[in-house]
Amino acid sequence: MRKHCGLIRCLVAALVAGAALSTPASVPRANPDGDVLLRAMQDELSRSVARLKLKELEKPYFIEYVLEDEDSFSVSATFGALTARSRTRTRSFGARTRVGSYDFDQTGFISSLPPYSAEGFSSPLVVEDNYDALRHDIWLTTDGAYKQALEHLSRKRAYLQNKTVEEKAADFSREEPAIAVASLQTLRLEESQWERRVREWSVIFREFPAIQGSGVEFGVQLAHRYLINSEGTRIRQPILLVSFTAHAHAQTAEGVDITHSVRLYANNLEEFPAPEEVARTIRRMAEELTALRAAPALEGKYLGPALFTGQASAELFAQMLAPHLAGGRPPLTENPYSSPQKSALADRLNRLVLPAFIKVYDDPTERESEGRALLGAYKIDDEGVAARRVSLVEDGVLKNLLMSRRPSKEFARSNGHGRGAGTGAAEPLIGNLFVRAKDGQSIADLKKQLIKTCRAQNLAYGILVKALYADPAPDGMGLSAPLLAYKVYVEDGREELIRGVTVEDISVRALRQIIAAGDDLFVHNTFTGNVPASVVAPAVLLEEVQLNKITGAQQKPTILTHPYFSK
Amino acid sequence: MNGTNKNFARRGLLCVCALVSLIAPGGLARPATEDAVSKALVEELRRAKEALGQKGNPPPYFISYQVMEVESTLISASYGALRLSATNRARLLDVDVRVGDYRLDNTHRLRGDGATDYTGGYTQPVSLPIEDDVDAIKSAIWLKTDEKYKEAVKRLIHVQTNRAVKVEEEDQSADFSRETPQVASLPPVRLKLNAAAWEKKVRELSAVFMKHREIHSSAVLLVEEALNKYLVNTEGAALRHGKTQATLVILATTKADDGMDLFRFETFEAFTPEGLPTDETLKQAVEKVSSDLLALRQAPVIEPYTGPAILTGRASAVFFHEIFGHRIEGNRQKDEAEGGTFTKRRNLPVLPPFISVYDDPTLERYAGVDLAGSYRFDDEGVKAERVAVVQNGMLKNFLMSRSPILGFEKSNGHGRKFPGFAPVGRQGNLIVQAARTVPRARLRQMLIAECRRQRKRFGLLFEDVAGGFTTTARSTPQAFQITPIMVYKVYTDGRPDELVRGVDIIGTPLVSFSKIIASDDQPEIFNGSCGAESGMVPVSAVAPGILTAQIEVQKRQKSPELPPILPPPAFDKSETARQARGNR
Repeated sequence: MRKHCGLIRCLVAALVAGAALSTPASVPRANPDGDVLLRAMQDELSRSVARLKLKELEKPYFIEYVLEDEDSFSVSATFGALTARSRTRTRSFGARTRVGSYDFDQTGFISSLPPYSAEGFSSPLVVEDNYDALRHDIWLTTDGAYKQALEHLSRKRAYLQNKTVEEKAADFSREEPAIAVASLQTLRLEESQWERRVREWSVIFREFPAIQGSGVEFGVQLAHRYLINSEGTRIRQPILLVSFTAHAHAQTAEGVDITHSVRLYANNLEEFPAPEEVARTIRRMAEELTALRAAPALEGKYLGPALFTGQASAELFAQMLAPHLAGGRPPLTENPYSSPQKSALADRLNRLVLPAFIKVYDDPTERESEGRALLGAYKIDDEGVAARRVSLVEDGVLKNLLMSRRPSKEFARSNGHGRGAGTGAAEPLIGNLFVRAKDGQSIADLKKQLIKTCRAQNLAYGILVKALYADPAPDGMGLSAPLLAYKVYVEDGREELIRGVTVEDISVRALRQIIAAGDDLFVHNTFTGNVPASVVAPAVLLEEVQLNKITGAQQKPTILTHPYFSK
Repeated sequence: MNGTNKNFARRGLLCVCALVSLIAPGGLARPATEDAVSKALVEELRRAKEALGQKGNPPPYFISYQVMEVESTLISASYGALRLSATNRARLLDVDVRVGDYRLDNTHRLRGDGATDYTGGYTQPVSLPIEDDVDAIKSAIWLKTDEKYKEAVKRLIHVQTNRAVKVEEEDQSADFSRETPQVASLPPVRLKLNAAAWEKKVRELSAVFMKHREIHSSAVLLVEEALNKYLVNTEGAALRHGKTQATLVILATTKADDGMDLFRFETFEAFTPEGLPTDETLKQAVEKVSSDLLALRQAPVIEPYTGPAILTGRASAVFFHEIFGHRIEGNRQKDEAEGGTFTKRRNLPVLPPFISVYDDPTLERYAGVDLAGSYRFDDEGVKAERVAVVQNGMLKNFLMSRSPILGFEKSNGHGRKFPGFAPVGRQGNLIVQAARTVPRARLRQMLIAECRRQRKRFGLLFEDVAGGFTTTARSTPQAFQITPIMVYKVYTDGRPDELVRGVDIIGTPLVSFSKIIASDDQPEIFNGSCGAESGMVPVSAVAPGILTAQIEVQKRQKSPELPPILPPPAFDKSETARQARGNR
């Protein structure tokens, strides 16, 4: 996607607004009919379908409009004072036109010349309900998208003149149109109250002298997501997202920097934890960081069993399994700098990919699990296809992959997992990923098994990982670094926190080494590929994992000290 | 020829992030310690000086803290509907720590392959709390100071090694000048805008463009900024001073049938929103932008041309800013990677003898127009000074920051920057004066005469330009390019002037300067934002119209994209009919 008209873009450089409203979250808007946005989009779509055609060239066979009408509030603070606050209204609009046919169109091809691909055009729309003004912006965006699609199709055809394609499948699946127009909502929240809370949460760090820097961010965003297309799909759904982040950093006596952060998400303010609970979360994080600062580093390497519990286990599946469950084909490319890879599991259908006692499915239609709301829940995906449960791994055998409307050799249809952030093109991604194990054990038993395995391998201790950093590994490969890792001593089972470890490059194959799983289920609400998702997974014991000590140049400890704690 | 609105300055370069304005009048000069920001800065400076003085090896010889507090309201609309209405507040801290001494410190330029240029470096400024909590503000300062100190120590070692292994430098000036510390605490400035009233105004103005089928994109934008700057350093400077500025931009774009992208804009500036023109004047400006743009669509494309031309005041002000102003900025004379067009030409002629140039940031208005480039203290806390750069065509002085050059040991208050950048000598208000002038009508006659002498059928008249860029580095040609918007052919046979499109002025500076024949008696003002190695800073340039014997233009590159296929929805007759039938 690319922005339209450069000059206007610079004028619309996103800044922030302030306007105080009151009372709880989102409430239905008074006049749910007469949606000018929907009407403007629908009228311009009809006109384009009827008449958008350049000279002797092809008409678009498919046109789709996506719009996110967003009202968002955000506030951040450090050490007891706000660093920023904003209330912003934005409308981002995307037009996608497909030329050619369902079997062969301009998509799924990366050319060697800019703009490299032609997935659509996007641009901001005016934020007021002015029919003519809205249509004007929509018109220009559609025009740009269509011309680019035409040019890209001719490039794709030229490229294929002297190439044979291994995997033949259509470029776009045919699906039933969906109509779901939910009523409009209004974002209602007591901004000053949230500002006060954020300020109070941030001041908690004044209790922790070991912490050098910290921050707290809170946001509430109400987006009305519109999707209409030339097949008759017509969707309007309000989506509320509450997000919270606290982050902090400290330095060990040797000058090694350590960071810690926690993120909380909810789909409405009622589900968001109470202020005291958030405060407890922050304190726990600050205590953990303080403990990490004093914790010993791993001496040398560790090669042996590792038990992943809670967030660490869910994050393990989110990072190591979820990305490889995407079906579809990688795009064709004539660009030497772009070599899109198939997912690592794409060729392993009907083969064992996990231990036989594990099953995996994705079900966006589940609203909650273990009493917790699931962030990855949705009814209709971002291509207008109804969400459905997809059984992915049964008895350890890969049965299905997640599909958007881009078909593969094996799967001709979408299974309701085409997801896109903002107005971006949809790709197959998880919604709510469930990992279940037969005959799960208690955490205590898993720990016993960890010790037993260590003893068999003559190790003095095993490793227990309770949390992973949510950010990807430094080299973008493998698993992110453990945040809370413990040595579990064989002699007495005691746990000792260690710091500064990384997991040696592991791949999806490592999951086959799971030798035992828990009877618990941890609900992890997160973001994958910039879309909200949930991973629900039990603790897992991996037979062999290699941990390394973080290496690299160390800084000298700071000379200056924190002014607040130096008084 | 269109009349320039005398009360309002134009803005040539388009950038909404520009921070422009007026220095708050009055105010008692007292140490800036009352407010939370000043208090936090002063206390942290004292602590850092003490701790690094005792434990630092080597200790720093200079530390400074600078905060830019910016509050801005931005309202924009297109086709009668708001795109954005937002207010933003931020406090950005820059920390400078120097080790070594005034003669040689860590900021000294490294020379040779792969050496990085210190002043080209950008450091993300620290976002300070926007609330007045001294403890919270202080908590955000110390770590950056520690980091900058360590960087400085490391770089000083590189500097010393680099000097030891390279040939002697051409310019052996010190790295940092000694200046009298300034102390002033002026009242903070605040936003004054009535957002609802301006939303209405901006919305209404933007609706006017909807009348014109051929105008594709358009917008009206209003920005009001209140900018307060704080500076403290270990030499004893303690400053707080503020400026406000309101800017209104009217912009429209279209495509000619051959695919050429065309745009036209008009800007108005004043110290406060109330100072902006009346609704009627603004509406006329929208109409003028529209009619100019529609005329441009129909205008023929110019072929490459070399010959005489007039640049009216508004065009020549940009011309001087770009091709002359950037070459008298002090830092450029020292850097061995720079071309140094003027470095060794002090007391030698660089312009025709009837032209003088000075830069005066202390000038707030010129002919009743507010000057965007005015300020009282520069970004190194040095008092702004009027600098006579060229007298009767002879080069006399450079625009100096605290980085001295051979023969110029002191700053003259031109060290400027945007947060995150290191300051360099930049223009403020560049004023070009002509000792010998002719009326504008006479300048036109002289143009025609010069065309005849050169056996040209026509000369060019540049009425409006949209800024440009210039290259001053040694590794690139010493050239410039300016994008004119409204250019006319002035025929020698008495035909009416003809608007042309697709023109870029090209050429090399020394040639262009030497070809100036005459100037008119109507100086005009360019208010804009200028981007260079120390980031975007607000600038003004004032110059009379000039006649030059030779200017070279080239054809502008045009886009291969066609204009939109369908008519604008509001102009689609079949569409209107369909809607009238209620057949959605």
